[in-house]
Amino acid sequence: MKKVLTIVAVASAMALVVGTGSAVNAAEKTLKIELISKGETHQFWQAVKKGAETQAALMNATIHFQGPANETMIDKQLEMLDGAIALKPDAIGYAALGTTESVSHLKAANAAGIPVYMFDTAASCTGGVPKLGVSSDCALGVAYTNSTAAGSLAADKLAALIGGKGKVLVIGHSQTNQTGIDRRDGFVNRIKAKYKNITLLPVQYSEGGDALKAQEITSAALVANKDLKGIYGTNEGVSIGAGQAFKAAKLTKGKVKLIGFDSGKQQMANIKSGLQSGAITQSPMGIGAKTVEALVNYVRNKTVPKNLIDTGFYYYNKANIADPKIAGNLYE
Amino acid sequence: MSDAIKAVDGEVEGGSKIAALVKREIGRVLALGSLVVIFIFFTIMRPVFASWENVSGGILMSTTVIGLLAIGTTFVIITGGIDLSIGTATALVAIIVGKTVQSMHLNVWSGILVGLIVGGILGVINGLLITILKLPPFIATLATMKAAQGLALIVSDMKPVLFTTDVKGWDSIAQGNLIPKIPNGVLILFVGAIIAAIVLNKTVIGRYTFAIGSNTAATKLSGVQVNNWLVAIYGIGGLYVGMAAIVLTSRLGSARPDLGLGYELEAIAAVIIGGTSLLGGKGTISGTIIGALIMAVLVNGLRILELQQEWQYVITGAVIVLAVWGDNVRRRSAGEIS
Repeated sequence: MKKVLTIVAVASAMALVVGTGSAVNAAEKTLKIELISKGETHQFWQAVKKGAETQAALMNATIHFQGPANETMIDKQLEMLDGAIALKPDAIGYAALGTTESVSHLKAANAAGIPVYMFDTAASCTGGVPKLGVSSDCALGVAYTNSTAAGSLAADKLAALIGGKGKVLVIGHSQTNQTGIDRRDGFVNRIKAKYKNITLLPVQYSEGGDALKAQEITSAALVANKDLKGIYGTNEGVSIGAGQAFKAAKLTKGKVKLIGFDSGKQQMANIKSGLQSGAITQSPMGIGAKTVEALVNYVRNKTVPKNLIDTGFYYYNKANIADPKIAGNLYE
Repeated sequence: MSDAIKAVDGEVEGGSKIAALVKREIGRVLALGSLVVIFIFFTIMRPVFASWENVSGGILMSTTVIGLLAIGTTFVIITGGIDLSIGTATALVAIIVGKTVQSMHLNVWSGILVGLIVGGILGVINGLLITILKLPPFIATLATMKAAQGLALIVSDMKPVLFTTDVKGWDSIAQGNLIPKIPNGVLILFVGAIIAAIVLNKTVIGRYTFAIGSNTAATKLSGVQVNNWLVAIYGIGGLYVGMAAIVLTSRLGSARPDLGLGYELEAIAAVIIGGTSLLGGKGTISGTIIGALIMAVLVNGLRILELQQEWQYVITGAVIVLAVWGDNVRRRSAGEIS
């Protein structure tokens, strides 16, 4: 595990050096970049936007950032993608909700000569199951968090907290979006492979990360399984809902271990108070910055970016929440 | 005016008041019957389902937000209208309450008052769009649904508002226990239902709600200011949105701008399962509560059984079809509809 973290840390440090390398050239024309995100609501996307804006300002580019109201609105997002293509920007960044549905739209962008770099989630233009890094025929690549590895890290941490045995519930935030699937599968597969004494209950979903639904799912699970040891929530809304269910059931803090995802003020408060054990955080600002950097370098210098840029992830808890390496990626 | 009311009464209940009453009671008894059957089914499958912990903390608590929305929208649906905005309006009210409480350091009671006022105003806006601009309710409230969603995001600056820890007692609005073993949220739901039932059955506005839904033109002809009453009725819907928003923030410990979308459909489903006609003119609050409970019992029971979620959706859909179809069959045999 240390190894993974080290690699992640080294990668981030290298990224930082490369990222600040390019100076603004006044003679260059300001590049217009359209970024189509999976959402605007969650602070995660706000952090991606901030990272993208900061990087764009450094590289003489402007970004226009938009996303649908929630992560189930594939159609809405594809309309936004079409709208962005019609504007003929210098480049497009796209976080795929519709990993297969977006293919024809992306091909239209290619036909119009607009370079596309994916962020967070790639679409598959090669057909079949969407796979990271094989989308080269419709996008240059993807800046992403290795969600499967992040899910596996959550599994290791939760297993350690419950002593490697007992019942565990996974609450997902989507059955269809790739990030949601990877976070779930990374966790589930690691538990199945490595922790034979942990019993996984059937995965439940709070679609779109609805905190209220997650609360209700958790309440029911606590009733149905008096011996529940741990819960893993795959996004911020789910984690908060689960924590609120603990409060409502007046559980002793730490009786059921909870590992969540991302940050946000309430989740961080829950971790500090001991209601929640910990969470995995990605590097959202890094995702935004790397996407913009890859696109600007490609348009301006014809530098073909790597088709996979891993922007990293960390596990944090009460003990290391203030660590600068962690705190920089957390948002209220 | 009293003549008008009498005329309106005749319109609603037909020739024999007693016959109409019996018909209505049968409907409720049948709906209650399906609720009991579903409840017994889950209890047999997993006895822990019937534990008080699950009934109060799981089922009844899960009914609070959707139940309050459904009560308010029962009025609207009885007029023959619809309110699609209640889901996202809940998020908007929650955010405005959170922001106001936070910036003005309000106490619990002032916060609740803000919620009711903002909710009421949103309802009145719907009413004005429908009566003054003459927009069909579906379109008017679709527009406010979108606008509320956007405003919730704008006002919150896309961030959840964590205000409850600053206000003493906010958690207790839904989670405290004025009566031992019964969460306050559940108490609010039932008190809200009783008030609504009294307003609907014992007051002028209640009578006009039915009258407008049965025959708007005739009601107008009998001298009733239909437009004014409609605005007030949508305002009542808004008050319940305000209540739902307050209970929601208390349950979650924060106001989240991304919540609420889709709640309108769950609330409308509860109203219809409870026997209220989408065509207007007929409906009861007790039916709506039973409808909301059927949905909550079903969703909670399927979770307790730990069924795969995909099948939970399919079964929920099937039960909605069965519930409404059963009600139609009953009404057809009772000659209420052809």
